[in-house]
Amino acid sequence: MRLRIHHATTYEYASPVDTATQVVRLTPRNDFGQVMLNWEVRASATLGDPSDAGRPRVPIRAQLVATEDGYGNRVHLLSVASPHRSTRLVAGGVVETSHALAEANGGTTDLPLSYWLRETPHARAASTIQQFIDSSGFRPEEESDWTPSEHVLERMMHDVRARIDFTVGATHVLTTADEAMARGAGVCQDHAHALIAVARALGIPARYVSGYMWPGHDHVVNASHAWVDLHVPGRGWMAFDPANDCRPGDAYVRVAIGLDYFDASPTRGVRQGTAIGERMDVQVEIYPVDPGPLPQGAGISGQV
Amino acid sequence: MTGYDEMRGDGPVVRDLYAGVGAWLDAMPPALLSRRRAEAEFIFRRTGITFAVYEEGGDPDRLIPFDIIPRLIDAREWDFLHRGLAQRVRALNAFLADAYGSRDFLRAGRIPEHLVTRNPEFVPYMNGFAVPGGCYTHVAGIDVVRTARDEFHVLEDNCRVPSGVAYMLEDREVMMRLFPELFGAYRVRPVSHYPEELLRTLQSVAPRNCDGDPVVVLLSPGQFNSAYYEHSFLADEMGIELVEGADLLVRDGLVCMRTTRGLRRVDVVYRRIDDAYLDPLAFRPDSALGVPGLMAAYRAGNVTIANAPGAGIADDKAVYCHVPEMIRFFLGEEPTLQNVPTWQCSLEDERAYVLEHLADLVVKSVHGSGGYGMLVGPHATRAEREEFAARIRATPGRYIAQPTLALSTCPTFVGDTVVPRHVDLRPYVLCGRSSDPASIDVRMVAGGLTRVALPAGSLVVNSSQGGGTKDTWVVDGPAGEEG
Repeated sequence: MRLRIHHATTYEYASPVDTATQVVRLTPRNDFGQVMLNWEVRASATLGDPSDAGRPRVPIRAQLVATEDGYGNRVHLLSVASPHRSTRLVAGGVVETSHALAEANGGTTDLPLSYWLRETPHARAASTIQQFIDSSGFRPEEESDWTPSEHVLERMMHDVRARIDFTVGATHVLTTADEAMARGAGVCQDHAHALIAVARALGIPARYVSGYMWPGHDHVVNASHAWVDLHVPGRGWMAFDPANDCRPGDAYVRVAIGLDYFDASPTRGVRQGTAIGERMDVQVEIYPVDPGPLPQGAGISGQV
Repeated sequence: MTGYDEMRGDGPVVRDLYAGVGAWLDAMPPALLSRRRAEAEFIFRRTGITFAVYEEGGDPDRLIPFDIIPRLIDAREWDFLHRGLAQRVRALNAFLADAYGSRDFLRAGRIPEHLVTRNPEFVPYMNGFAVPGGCYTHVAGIDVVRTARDEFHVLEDNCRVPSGVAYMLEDREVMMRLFPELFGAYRVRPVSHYPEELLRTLQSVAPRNCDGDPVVVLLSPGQFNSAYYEHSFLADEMGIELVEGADLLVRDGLVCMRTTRGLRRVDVVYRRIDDAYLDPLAFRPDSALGVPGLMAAYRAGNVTIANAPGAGIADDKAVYCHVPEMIRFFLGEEPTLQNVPTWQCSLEDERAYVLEHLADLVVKSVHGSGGYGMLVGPHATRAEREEFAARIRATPGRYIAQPTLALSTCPTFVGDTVVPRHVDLRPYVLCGRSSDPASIDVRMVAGGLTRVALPAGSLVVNSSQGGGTKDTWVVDGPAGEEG
């Protein structure tokens, strides 16, 4: 499927901040059969009160430098070196997606599977997750050399989803997998962390994936999405979307992978100077351009 | 425990090497030695050379005890050490390049994969990145102990931010001032050019896109760090800026330093802070310290960080066991310097042996340093041993054990008598860019820092555990003699 994506992130501050530095992961990966046809990331910043339409906004230099991280994610480093009241990041382009769920293991720098068993503070099987695993029966007791079937992994995803309602606002970026499961509520990031924690505790290599999903309507959107890759011996990496309790296909665009949200988050930054009254607005538009019909109307804005 | 003595070898007779020191000691009444020691301490206090110890109630401005009797190494011994150290450090750098690159060593099964991939010091940001000049450990501190005339062992590799080199330099200064006649009796190889060598090493790894003379800075956590004195000392000696995180910023992908005349690009960051505090955008989000964007600027090829982030995977005590194999695998050579035999508690057989022989062994934490959290079996009480046994059983992967080595002794002035005390040696090995892209340039000043365990019989030389230092003389023979 050919998907066009437009992702705009705007930060506005009630008073100017001195400088800002951000690490940005907003460029799709070329893997899982996914190919980037064209893509662009742009940044701008302004001084002047964003809410005061009558006064001109002074453009401020916002510089992007492209590099990559150790996972092969494309990274941009954004720096705004002088005082500003707003920053806008726009990423967009066209991506050809694929149904391929398994990735041929490629480059020699792909991290070994054992790396993807590392616990992180946010995706860790603490007591609630551990109890969930103990009562789940995913792993047959008698088999020490256990290899989970795809079916078992799908049930695992389903059970994680059943334990965590999709609720916006119940959690925040620092919520751990265990807290989300204990609370029984969360968003895609929490579902992903929980499934990762369960999988790694059972010896299944797991990766956090951030990206986009086209939910199949004419015009759409929400914020960016997150799901999980699990590794199945003999099959390779396979994608699982615990928030939607389904297997990702060609409606998904992979942007960044990592051990958890903090490795793969679309934006991560720091500011100097008091950032009071910060407002962050994220708009994602995604729609198929070929062979599907072009959408009518604009995207719906979502705040995260 | 008696073993090899640096001054007397295995017997009662003073080695030729130490004849001058022996005569000097014989001619020195204890009262004069005491006076000289007090003078040395006065000089150190005035210089402000102190070492804070991370321990409650510890004196934050404690002086590391300095012993006024030098430790001597002859040219033949140093040649051997030099060869072994250079070989080892080449292998460690090759291992790091491999661990963050093609991982042939892992694939060949020469090291258990998890020791790399699940090592807490593994920095994924480094994966697939070719560091400038192929150098990871621009400064490595390799701790060497001697157990017999021709037996030297590497006790530990320090590949992150080894400290102590300021003591090597200051000890020499003080010895030359207090004992010019003894110093003049030997042809001692100099150490004072270490800062120049270090600066040259750091400049050599400047990014390819650096224009003009590379700008090097020393990044320190600040005055509350135990090694702050050394940071300011080295920056001073090298004539470079001493900075903290807040003095640096990343703009347009370049690392810049705030100066009174505006921003100035920085090419090489000699950092004396841990990986976790380098960049809040690349490491865990709970630290506000560091330079946001530093790692991205590094990967973009706009700055060099020394030592390289993630170099710590080469120096923990479980990986240590595999260094001889690294030397064979990457260099095709047999190790010149031997490891200390090491039992890994993660392996069932070896753990059983360790638990049975705790009273004879030294047990160390795999990721520990500074002599913290270790058990010296022969010096421990039964209760201490039992407590350690429980810890080993609970988390065996965290511990290794080694035989209690008879470290060599060196005459040391303790109280008002000269007595033998155990010593080790930490040479500082520098790695810079070589004109041969397949290689690295390895250099070191002769000697290093000799650490001495001051309590009688003690084998723990770490300054955090009450160890002292000695000036270390690599000598080419008595003064006036050629060749």
